[in-house]
Amino acid sequence: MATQEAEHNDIEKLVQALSKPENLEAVTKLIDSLPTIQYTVSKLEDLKRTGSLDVIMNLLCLAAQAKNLLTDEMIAGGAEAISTALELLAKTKSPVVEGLLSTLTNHPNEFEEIIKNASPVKGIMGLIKALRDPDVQQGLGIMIAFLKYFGKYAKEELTVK
Amino acid sequence: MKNIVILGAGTGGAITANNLAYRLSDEIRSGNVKVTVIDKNEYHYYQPGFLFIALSLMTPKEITRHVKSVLVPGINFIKDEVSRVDLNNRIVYTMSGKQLNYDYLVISTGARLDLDSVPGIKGVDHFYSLDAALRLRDKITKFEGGNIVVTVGGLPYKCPPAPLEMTFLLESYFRKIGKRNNVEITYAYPLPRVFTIQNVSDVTAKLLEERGVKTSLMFNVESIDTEKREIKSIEGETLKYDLAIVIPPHKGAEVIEKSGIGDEEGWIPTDKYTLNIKGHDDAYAIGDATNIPTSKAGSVADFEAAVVVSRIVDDLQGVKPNKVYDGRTICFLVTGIGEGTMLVFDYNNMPNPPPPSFACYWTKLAYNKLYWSMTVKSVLPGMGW
Repeated sequence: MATQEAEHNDIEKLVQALSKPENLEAVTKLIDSLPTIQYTVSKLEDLKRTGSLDVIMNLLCLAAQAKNLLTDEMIAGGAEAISTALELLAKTKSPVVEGLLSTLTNHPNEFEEIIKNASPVKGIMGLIKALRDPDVQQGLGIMIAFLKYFGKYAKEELTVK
Repeated sequence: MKNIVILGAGTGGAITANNLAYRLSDEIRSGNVKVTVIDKNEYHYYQPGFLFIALSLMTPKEITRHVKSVLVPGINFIKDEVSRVDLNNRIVYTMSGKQLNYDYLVISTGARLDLDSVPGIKGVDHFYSLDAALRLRDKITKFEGGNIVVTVGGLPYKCPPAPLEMTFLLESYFRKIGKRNNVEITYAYPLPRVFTIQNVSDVTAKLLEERGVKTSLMFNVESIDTEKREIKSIEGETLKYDLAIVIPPHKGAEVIEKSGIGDEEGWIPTDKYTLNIKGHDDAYAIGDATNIPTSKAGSVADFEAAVVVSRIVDDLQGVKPNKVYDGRTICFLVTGIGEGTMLVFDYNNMPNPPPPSFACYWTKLAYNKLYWSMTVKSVLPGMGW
């Protein structure tokens, strides 16, 4: 008897709660959303079954902690560093840089052979002898051109702005 | 040799030129193709940064680069002003007397600010150029209290969320420095809603209300009285201000008008899918310069550039161009210092902005830096060619 009365009271409380328009609206919305809720629950079950749910929860905790540790300045600074690195990477697409890199990558066996068998250049006479080689002359020309470029712009770029 | 001429080295022009240089590097090296960019300006600005400069959130150095430095090797850059474009005879004339024949033309001359069509507008502030943003920054930092009005002088204007963003940033700025109670902020807009797109308007109108920002809708600026510090609307309303931020009306570039290839406002009639200037299959228009019914935003220029590059390369290689622009647009919408949302939409899909979050704001902060490598220089797609 007492149980029945308690149940009746509970139902009455529920009806009273639902008589408030905002509660009724919320329940109606919940019912309307049942397909979405069902879909979401099935996805959560999939994640739980595969063990991914715990991993995601841990990653979310990590993201929440990271949010507390990071600042606007750190985000901007990090992005700037990535951007600079990407631009440096893009410079390898320049025809000249690409060509220079290709000298190393396109003839790997010859590269190994020449470097392995490199003999020391002794004294001025040795240097003069080495300079008679047209390949060395070409390489030296490129090195001098590089030094000219480097000397021209290094001072400007190294100056604190 | 095929000549590709690009007018303008802003976002659209630079991205187009760089991607053409990547994709046609062999043809450029062998002298079969020449990519030429003409621009009178010495500097390329990351224009969304102007807003951040006005709020002291970025510095001029961060948003400014020499035009030459944003173009990758292989591009012929001419610093000159274009005086006339002859689409029928495929010739571009410059102020210094040069005459350039082209096989393909890409017009990316952007929009210009029209400071003559609204009386008094020269006497108030905006943030659509570096100088203007710096002037506004000084006024905001010295502002002790009073009425601030944010409005637009006419539609269309670049970066549609910008006036809303300015309003939200001002509100959070003054709240952060403890002066919010001394400042009344009014956001006035020429439409019956706070943003051009209804569902974005619904979300942002609620945020404005929650943050105590007054709104005045259907407010089309007629004139500004800088003596009385009043802005009058065509509808008969008057707003008093101590600091007025009025985005100037926009028009197409002067050269478009002079060449007789634009509409009344100087926008180029452009096919919204192929991006061809109407009636000319060898000429394209991208970015703010077109009359395409989408936002005048950097992302639009970026996505359009990819389409134009693909079409030109296909045509050069004897393949029928089939890539089209679908209206894709991505706009960040900063809703305060430390939070923002994002609008992604196209011709067929309306934006469905996520709730404002710090994650979107941080993405925006990161993008402000990554613009130079990922967008303008298109490093990642560029590495693939």
